[in-house]
Amino acid sequence: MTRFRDLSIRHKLPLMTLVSTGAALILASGGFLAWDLVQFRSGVRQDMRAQAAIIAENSGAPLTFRDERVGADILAGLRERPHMEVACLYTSDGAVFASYRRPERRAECPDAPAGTRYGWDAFEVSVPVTVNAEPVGTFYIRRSLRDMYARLRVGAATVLGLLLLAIGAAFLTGARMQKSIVTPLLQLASTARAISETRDYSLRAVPGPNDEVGIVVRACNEMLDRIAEALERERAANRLKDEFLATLSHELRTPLNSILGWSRMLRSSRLDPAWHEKALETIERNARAQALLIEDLLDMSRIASGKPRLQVREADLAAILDAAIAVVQPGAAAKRLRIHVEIGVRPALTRGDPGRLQQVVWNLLSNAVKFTPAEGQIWVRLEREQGYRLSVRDSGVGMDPAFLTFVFQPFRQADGTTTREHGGLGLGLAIAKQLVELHGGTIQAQSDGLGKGATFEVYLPSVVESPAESPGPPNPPEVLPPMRVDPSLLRGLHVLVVDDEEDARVLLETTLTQHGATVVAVASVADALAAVDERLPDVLLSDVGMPTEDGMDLIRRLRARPRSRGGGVPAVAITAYASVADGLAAEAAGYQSHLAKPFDPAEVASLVAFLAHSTGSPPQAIVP
Amino acid sequence: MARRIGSIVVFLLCAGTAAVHPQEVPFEYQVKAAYLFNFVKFVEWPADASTGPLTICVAGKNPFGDLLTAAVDGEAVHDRPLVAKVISQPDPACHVVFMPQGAAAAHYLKALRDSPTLTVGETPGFLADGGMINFIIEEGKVRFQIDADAASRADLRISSHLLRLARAPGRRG
Repeated sequence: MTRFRDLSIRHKLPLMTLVSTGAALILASGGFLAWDLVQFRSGVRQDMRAQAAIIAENSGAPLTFRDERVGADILAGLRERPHMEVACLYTSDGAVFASYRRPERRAECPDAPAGTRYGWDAFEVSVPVTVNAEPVGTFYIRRSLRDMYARLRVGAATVLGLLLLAIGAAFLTGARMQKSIVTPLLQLASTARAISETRDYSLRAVPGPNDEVGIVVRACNEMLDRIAEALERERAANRLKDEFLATLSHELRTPLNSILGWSRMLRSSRLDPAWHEKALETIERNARAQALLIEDLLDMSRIASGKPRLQVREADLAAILDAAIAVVQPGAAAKRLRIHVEIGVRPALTRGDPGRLQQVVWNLLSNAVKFTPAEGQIWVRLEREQGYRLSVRDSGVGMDPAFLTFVFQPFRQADGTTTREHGGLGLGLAIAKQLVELHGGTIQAQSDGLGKGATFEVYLPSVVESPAESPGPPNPPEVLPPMRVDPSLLRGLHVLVVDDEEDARVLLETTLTQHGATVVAVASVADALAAVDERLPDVLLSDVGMPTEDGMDLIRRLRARPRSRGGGVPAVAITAYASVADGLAAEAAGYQSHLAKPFDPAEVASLVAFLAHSTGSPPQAIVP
Repeated sequence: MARRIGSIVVFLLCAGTAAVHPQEVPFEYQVKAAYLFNFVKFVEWPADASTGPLTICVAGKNPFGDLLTAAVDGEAVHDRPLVAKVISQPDPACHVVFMPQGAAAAHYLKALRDSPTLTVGETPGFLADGGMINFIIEEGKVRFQIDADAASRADLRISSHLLRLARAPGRRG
């Protein structure tokens, strides 16, 4: 049997109506019947007393003169009272003098006059018969209460009938009234069930009336709207991520293509030696382009995790602009673009990270070059307001006004297809926006529509009126001049290199050897510890990610040793995990410093030299 | 006291078969003596006859012996003491006069006409002669007839309860 609380509301409500109306009716009728019973009994009692008094009065003479016939006549008057079962006249010594009894009843005169009793089966009344205040006998009468019970039965039957009628009425009217409550609820329930079964969040319940049920239904619908929106957002985000991964893969492959192609050609002996320089240059440029892509990704991840760092000092925006223009000039020239430059203030000194600011400017300029068709024009303007305003306008493809709102969001590109015309990860503007905001500035994009060009405007509030230091010239992300090698830099130093990957190991070994160091290169932590035992190195360089035991294990075990057995050897962690957290973890484990892959060989050499000759605290972390 | 009389009467009435009496009064007269005494309870006399003792008189020959005297001795009805006596002449002091068989009923009735005296007889035609209550024997039991008109002419009020017990006064002559 189902418990009441688990019943459907459709059944619950009628049941509740039924129970409450039933209870009310039964209580009211029960009360009424009880009251009626009391009234009835009291009426019967009075009637019997009056009857007995009259008969007793009339029976005085017959008793006195012992006239049984008249006595019987008097009692026979009770024939008209059908509920009087027995009436008896007793002489004063208790003998029956005259009696009356209802023929169909079995009652007999008691042997001696019984007292007065108002019982549940019958009422009995005895009264003395007097003449001149002298007792001459007793009158006894007994009345059956069958009629009372018949009356009760009729009452109960009436109540029952009414109850059934009320139940029927309650069901009929209740069913109608319930519709207004139950129908919307049932609809809501079925909608909820349909949604949980089909996962179709576009389903909605019918709102219905404005009562509480309607409020619930509306609230549910609103909730569904939100869920649908959230799902849509999530789908859009996933789509973006997919597009981004496709783009990322594409962008990483493009330089790889050149690198691998030219590498193979170099290895083939048929390549004209005159092309060697060109091949190496191309390989290096592509590798740097890839490194830049990875830089962008790391920047984005740092910005997303809220941990970008600026090396704030004095920076000259005019100089930065000059450098950036110089960088994009070859590309612009190739497309026969005209760049109009208007620098209204020089020097334009501000406080900021020159490298980062150049990243922003270069990004805007290279976008302009990228999105402006051949023989187009680009206007660059720097002017002083409260702070500095830099605008880059082009006559390029422009943007759909709808895209303007997304242009600074990461991974957003106007054209997300793989066959798109323009490369890039779609991170440049997002990073630029974050960097400008980190400098307290703002960045805006405007476009009158597709084909009508675009304008990007950067506003930087910080102004330095008088130069305190000379700002360092920014380094354009260009092909570096060939590495300068100082073969005496590491002369006499013994360096231990640990890396499970042979190429990296050999690269490090070669670099260090070229700078004059003696190098022992091993592939595992165990070999490294053995090498330390054999000969204490001046500096240890170790990869972090290695199978079985990694660089962290190595440094912990080394630092656990006494100084004489390598406990104090200066150590550098080399990691492909270039995040700040990784660097901090490496230093916490015992490394003096860490380098991120890909590293600049010259940088490695100078760091080793620095560590080998420093006796004090280790240098600041070097972060890519 | 009243209770004692009542029990005597009851005893008299119930001892029908085994009536043994010292005075050798016949059972019929024992009953009639009790009835005479009881009639008084159902009759009201006019106001001027309502003071002093209630006197029950037996005209001529007394058939009750000492029984009536003994029965009324010390009794009272409506707070009036009862007195019984035998008369040989109509006596205005009598409230009830019983005229047994053999008494000159007609003479007494004529003398008592219209005086507030309850006249009781036991002869056929007593009512026709102007009497008020007449004993008869019905199925071996003592019953009586009443002429209510005669009583009301004498300014006596006989209770309806007593009238109800009266047998139809059909034989008026």
